[in-house]
Amino acid sequence: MTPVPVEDAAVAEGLVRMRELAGALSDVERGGAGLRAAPRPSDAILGLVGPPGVGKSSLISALVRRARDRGERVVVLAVDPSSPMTGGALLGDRIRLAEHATDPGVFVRSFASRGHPGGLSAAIPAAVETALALGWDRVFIEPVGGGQNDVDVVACADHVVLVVSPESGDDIQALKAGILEMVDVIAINKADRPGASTLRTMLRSQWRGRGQGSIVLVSAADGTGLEDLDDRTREVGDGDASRRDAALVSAVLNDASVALRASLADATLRSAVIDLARAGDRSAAIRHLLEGARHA
Amino acid sequence: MTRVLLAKPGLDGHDKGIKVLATILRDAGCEVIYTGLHQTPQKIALAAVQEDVDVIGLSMLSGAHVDLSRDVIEQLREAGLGERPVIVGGNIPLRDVALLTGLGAAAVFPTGTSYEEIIGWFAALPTATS
Repeated sequence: MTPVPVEDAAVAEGLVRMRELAGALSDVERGGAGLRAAPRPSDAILGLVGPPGVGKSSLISALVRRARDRGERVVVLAVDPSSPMTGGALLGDRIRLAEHATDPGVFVRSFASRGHPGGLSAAIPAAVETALALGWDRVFIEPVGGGQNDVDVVACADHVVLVVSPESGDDIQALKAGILEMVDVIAINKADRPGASTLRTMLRSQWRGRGQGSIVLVSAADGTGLEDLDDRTREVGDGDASRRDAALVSAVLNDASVALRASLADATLRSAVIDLARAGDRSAAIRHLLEGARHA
Repeated sequence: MTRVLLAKPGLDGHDKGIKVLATILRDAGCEVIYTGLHQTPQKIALAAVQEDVDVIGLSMLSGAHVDLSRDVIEQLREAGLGERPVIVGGNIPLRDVALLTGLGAAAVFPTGTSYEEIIGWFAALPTATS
């Protein structure tokens, strides 16, 4: 065994914890129940949602830096889509988190959505609990870059930030009805670019119920507004049960659709459902599917 | 589901090859984690630990493939992942292939290797069916 260089001693020490968590997360992804966290702070889990390319990973990287300055040990769970055609996935969120690559207090795990709708993979809720149970202090969740129905993260995070950028001005329309109602904070990233304050004005006029103060101009690149955003995501949650319940229902429905899809692995059931749907009787197809799934 | 970490160690900015590889492996049904340019052997080993991957793939067009492969394999061993296969691709002179497998590389795919050959190697992995 080659001696570990002195400067790597901290890494070697962190390695034990990393391997413990890595193995536990793999168990969860294979369908294991994972561990349950003991009572924990109400700001331990932060989700950052938003369209692709707005800078969610870069913003997480900047917030991780601040958490590390406080001595917190941080886990990032990043989800990217699986191909519905091949099941394959390209998971690239680590690239933006490169500055933490040798920090033994930062653990980054990439998940493929594996056909799960709602912006997360089926493993994420248990993965979050498992990370906290193993003594990591803070968990950042980055769902698939998506749109209005990707609200599963609201069911498992203490705070959810919607990240947008000045370029995504028109895309906000697509977000209006869904996720916009569910988030605690809107971060307008790339605030150094033209259009940022115009977008803030527009969002202030459209976004009701969560208070105008929670729209923050930030720049992951130059550090603008990060302290403000960090503070807001560490406030005690408002315990908005109706919002959380709505997200939970949505998440359970997403789980159910995955379970129903799995029951279609039965070729007889699958062809019967297709025949009914092809004949134009969708409700009969649904009844048949639910019946078949119950007996599966 | 096979999880693969793809990395470019060292000071080599040529990432066309590894991006093509990432795409064909994705299309072959793998979950591919790409870590970006300029990775040190230590960073690659830590990423492999965190992602708990089945395979570590290195792409090098810099000429430093022997030293870097040796370092990555050593770091993986120290991190407790000595049994995970490491595959090496890129601008590898044929005379270095045996040298790399001697260092512990599970497979070497020099310039000119067909997609079919690489996908075939992955299809033969025990994880490919799970």
